[in-house]
Amino acid sequence: MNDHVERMVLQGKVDLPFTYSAGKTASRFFVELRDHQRIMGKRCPRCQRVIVPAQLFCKECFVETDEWVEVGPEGTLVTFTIVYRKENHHPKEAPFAYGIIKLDGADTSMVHFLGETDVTKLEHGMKVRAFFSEERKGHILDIECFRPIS
Amino acid sequence: MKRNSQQEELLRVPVHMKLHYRFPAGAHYDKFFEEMKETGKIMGVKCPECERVLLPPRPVCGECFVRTGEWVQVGPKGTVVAYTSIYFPFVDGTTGKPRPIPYGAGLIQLDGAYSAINHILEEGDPEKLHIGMRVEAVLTEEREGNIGDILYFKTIEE
Amino acid sequence: MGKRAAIIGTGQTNHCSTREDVNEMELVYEAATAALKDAEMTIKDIDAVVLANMELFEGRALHDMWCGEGAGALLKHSFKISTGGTSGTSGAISGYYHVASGLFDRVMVVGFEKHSDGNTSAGMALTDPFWDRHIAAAAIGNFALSVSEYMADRGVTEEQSAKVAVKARRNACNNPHAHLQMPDLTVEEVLESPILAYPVRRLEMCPQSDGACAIIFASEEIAKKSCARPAWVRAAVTRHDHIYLGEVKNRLTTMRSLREAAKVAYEIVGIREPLKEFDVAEIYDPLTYAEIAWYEALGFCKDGEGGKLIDNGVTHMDGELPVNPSGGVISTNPVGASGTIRVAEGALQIHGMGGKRQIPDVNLALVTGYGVYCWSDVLVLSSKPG
Ligand SMILES: [Zn+2]
Ligand SMILES: [Zn+2]
Repeated sequence: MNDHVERMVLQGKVDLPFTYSAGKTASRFFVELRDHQRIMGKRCPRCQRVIVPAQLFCKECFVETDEWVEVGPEGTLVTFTIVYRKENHHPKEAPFAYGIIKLDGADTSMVHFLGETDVTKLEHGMKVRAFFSEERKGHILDIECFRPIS
Repeated sequence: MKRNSQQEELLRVPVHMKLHYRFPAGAHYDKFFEEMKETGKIMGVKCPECERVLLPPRPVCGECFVRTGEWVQVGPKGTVVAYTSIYFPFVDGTTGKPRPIPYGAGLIQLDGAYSAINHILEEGDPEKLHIGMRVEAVLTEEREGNIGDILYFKTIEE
Repeated sequence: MGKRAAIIGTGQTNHCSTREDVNEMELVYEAATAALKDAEMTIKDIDAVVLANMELFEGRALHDMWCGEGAGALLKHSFKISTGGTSGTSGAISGYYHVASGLFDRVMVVGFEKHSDGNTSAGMALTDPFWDRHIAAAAIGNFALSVSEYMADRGVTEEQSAKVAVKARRNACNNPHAHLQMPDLTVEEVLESPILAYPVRRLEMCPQSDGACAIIFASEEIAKKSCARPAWVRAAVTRHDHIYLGEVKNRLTTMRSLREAAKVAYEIVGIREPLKEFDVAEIYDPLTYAEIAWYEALGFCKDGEGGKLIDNGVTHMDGELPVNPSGGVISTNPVGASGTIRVAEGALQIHGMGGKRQIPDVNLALVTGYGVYCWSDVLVLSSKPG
């Protein structure tokens, strides 16, 4: 039996639908994006950090956040990458860029697409601004991307 | 808690996930499926210690933790040791579509085998199914070398 | 023998079919904060966190990290345990081991599942791709196979099965956390509910719930200091059997993993007559027929007499050994949490904090977990450290 060269390989596929509950806090965050093009964070009553996107509780202090705070839409590009390799499982066709953005007024950063894939035009610490989608559905992609501003 | 108030809109985000896997069969399953494809024979493997004929043909006996040895032809006739008929609708996780219902399913102990095989019964009416009934494997004309080469087990009179 | 350990706090969410008001991490947070409150602790007091959840259902990579933050596991010692339906009890056993090892003094275990996020039936059917993925019909179909066999072996009747469903859903009315509360359910209604997979009917099967449950284990010194009636873990045993259904002979009739786990646990504690010696049992009953089969496997009666126990009301709230005052898994089933809930409910009975579902004077509680297809956990909790 060891002289078998070709071994059987079964091609398997998993095809499943999911429906994720956003919960009341993320729901309000998405509704604000959709209806008012506002990016909202929540402040922790203990450490006073403004957490963005808004979260029900502060993971550092393990207490519920209370105060809603509007942040951005401008912020600072903390770091970035540009993806060049094309893959089926990528969220966008390469090349595309994404980064970590600290919005003005926020104490935590968020990860999102950048609307600029020319590496010479991206810089750590540069100012960026949120661009909202025309058609907003109450989803994180209601922010289409962040673009550098001068 | 259970119903959201009218003012508060609670969102749910749909995501469809499609994933692809490659499952290498390993030497034992490889031989089993090749034998089925080429000759239509259903083969089990015998444990040298407890002498049980195992199906699926495991390379190691789970009870004795020793390597299995001799290949033994089993079936194609066998006995139903457990059965059900599936009536509830559910999504087939391999296609993302509803599995056609109803269908009969059973654990079939093939003649000569110790373990039973979990497979489809041609007879789907629970009134016509009973434990101890005799069945026989019906194979596809063109076999591909997978468990689907056994179409189902049909009821036989003896 | 390890060091002594006890459960000093528990917390549960409200369980129901869809908790739209929280995401999964927030669900975990809700249970964790409830347990901390119950134990009069803050997250700073916790040395280690064990998470329990069944893989695949919510389709999330690094599930443990995602939900770990909800359990306050940030920068703490933390693991996830995933053993199918037993995940919740295995997680609790792991939490106990953490304390019994002497390495940790206060350990929080959180079991959780948000079924509404995913498609559980489809996920459950992703069994062995070579042998039974084409046929597997979720937990229900695989159970139904064993039920037909069990009925033939033991002569258990549909009416006896329906009585278990009625007992469970009525008990659930005394449990504010329970998902299916049906005070007026009758045997006739159960038997009239549609067949899902022959012979199993809809009202004989557990639901799919969203829910989480947290337990806090503590070392002897801390438990004695901070809890009026600690629930001491006297035995914690886990056993698994074959995964392919065809390799298990007469699964429900024999259930040798449960028999073996119970035998070992009873030996450790010195229990000879479980029906007499236990004051309450919280057992993992995925469907009615399994509860009757577990009576036999757990030695509450002789083989073949499980049906009589339910006929005679022995396992009712006012019976000799009340089984599942909480309503059990048949009433509430967030899978990864279902085992943790059993442990929490057993501990609650010893704490004397069971509210309307409290059984008087509980000193010894039996807790079990069950996972597809033949995984069994058995824990014995006691008001005495032993
Ligand atoms: Zn904070
Ligand atoms: Zn053997």
